[in-house]
Amino acid sequence: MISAHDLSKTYTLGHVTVPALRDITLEIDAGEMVCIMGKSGSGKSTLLRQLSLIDQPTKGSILLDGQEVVGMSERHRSALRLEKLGYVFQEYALIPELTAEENVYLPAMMRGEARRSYRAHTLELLERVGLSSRLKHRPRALSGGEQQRVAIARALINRPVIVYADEPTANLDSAAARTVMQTLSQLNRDLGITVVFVSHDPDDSAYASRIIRLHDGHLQPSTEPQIP
Amino acid sequence: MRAIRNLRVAAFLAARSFARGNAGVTALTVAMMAVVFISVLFLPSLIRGAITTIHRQLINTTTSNLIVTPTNPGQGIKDIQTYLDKIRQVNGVAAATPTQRVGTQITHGTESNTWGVDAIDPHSYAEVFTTPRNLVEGKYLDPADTEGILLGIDVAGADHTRLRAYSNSLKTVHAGDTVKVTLDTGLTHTFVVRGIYQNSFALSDQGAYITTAAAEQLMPKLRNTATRVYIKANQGISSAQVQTSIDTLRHDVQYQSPDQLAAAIQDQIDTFDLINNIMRVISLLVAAITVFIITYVDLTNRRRQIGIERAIGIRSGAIVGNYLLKSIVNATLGTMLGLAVFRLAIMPYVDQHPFQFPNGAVILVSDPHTTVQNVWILLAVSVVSALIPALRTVTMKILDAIWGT
Repeated sequence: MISAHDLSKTYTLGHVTVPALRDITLEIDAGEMVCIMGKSGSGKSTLLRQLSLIDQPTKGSILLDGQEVVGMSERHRSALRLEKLGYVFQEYALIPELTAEENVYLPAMMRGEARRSYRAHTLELLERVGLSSRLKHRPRALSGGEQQRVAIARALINRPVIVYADEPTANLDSAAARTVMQTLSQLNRDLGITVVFVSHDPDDSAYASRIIRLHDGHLQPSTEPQIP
Repeated sequence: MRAIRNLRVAAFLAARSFARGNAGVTALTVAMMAVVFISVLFLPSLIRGAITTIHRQLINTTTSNLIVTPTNPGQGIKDIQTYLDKIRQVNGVAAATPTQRVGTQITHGTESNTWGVDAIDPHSYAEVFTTPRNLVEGKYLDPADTEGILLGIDVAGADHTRLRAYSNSLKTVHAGDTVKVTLDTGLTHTFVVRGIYQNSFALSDQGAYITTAAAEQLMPKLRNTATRVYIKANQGISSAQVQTSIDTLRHDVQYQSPDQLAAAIQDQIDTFDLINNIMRVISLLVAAITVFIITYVDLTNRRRQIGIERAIGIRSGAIVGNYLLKSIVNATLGTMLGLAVFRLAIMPYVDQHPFQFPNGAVILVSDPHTTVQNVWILLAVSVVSALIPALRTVTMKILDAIWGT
């Protein structure tokens, strides 16, 4: 599905270089639900951004379905993000002028899908995340948990092979966080979508089939999740 | 196909942004564009108005539409009445009047200077020129008046000490006073000032007029002759058309159009044209910078959103297209609003309260061709002003756009 080899990312702040990821090698198979954990500054979000093609690594290689994506033009990376990947931000990141359903189907419009098709799919996804009654609501009229579920539906609209989520529950109360994690888990289980998410919350990691731990940019041995 | 998809998404985002975005910001942006467009229109229209005033004053008070002079200046135009009768029957001719230069020196007390004194037929002169309607003292000449003289304000002075030509004028002459005119024959004759006119046009305010009757009484040999014939054309008829129509009437005359006689004011017109061109460039530059700032601020505020849109796979072309469309709509609404305010409020107001320039009252005159040109330039400026920051934002790293690093 997706693999990384000797992946490193170094940030330069003035004259100082800060290594965020050091020689990461990992492989994620189809259908997995992987949680990337680590302390603050360990490089977990940086790793997610490299794997989700939002950022370019300083060194190393990333293969998506066997295709090298490091060094690819932004145009091709954008096309891959649109057609094969879904991304859920920590801060919901919905477009404020669009309704819930418009936020969801925007990537499908961009992909060129027929209007009738993407509207039906949008309705199906919003029903699946429990928001079929909130189609016409704009983000400001939705709670944090509801916005995050709209963001999850948006990430799924183009039937991606992997959904990445960067601390999807960080800004939510525990009840909303639980709903979001259950939604991701259900999608993974029912639709077979690979989910890779970042979290520092042990409650979230319980939903994962595998946990990847990072410490100072180094990969720690993978562990099975502990059911709390 | 890709371009159509980009355009579709761009139009979708732009439409939603207009429909559901901050209406106050949109209204302010459109208002700003309107003000910018008014500033682009205003000064050039004022300068065009000033140039139009110069042309109007020139034709209405000094040159008419066509001047006929004898080929041999020493002889004058003979049998002028027959010639005038023929001219007045020509299609396109509204009126014609003859003048005869009779004197060059006017004296009042110790003040004396050189001005042209012309003999006119008061009746036909009033049909060609507006001077008789611009009296500031006294009354216009009667055709049978053989003792009266009409003076321009720059000749009489009339105690108007703030006149630019006051120091060279007779300074204190008013209607009812007498002045001495030295005729071309060398004789001096005293006339009673019947009236003083002020056209607010330097070329014509330095004139002095007696009647043809007075001239013929003093210089009988001038009977039925003229040194010039001024012809007023009907509305829409050009000087060249009138000239062509009357050219066959006689062969001992030559023609001059107002443009040929405008050398004295050509430097003013050239200066106005130069100012007009400079101000137009400056206005458009200010417009470009304003539009650029508006778009840049909007894009800077939405940089994070653009980063997110890119992260979820929205193509750069669609994102740039969205901002281009919004900029075009803002510019279109702004120019329409600006044009409406300019045409329906500012121009009518200035028509009622014209600016007073040295050459007369000036109103705003807008040229439709230049206005349309300005609309297109402003639209092009808006597109470029939106394109540059939009391209900059979509080519920066997604993370830099989202987190503003």
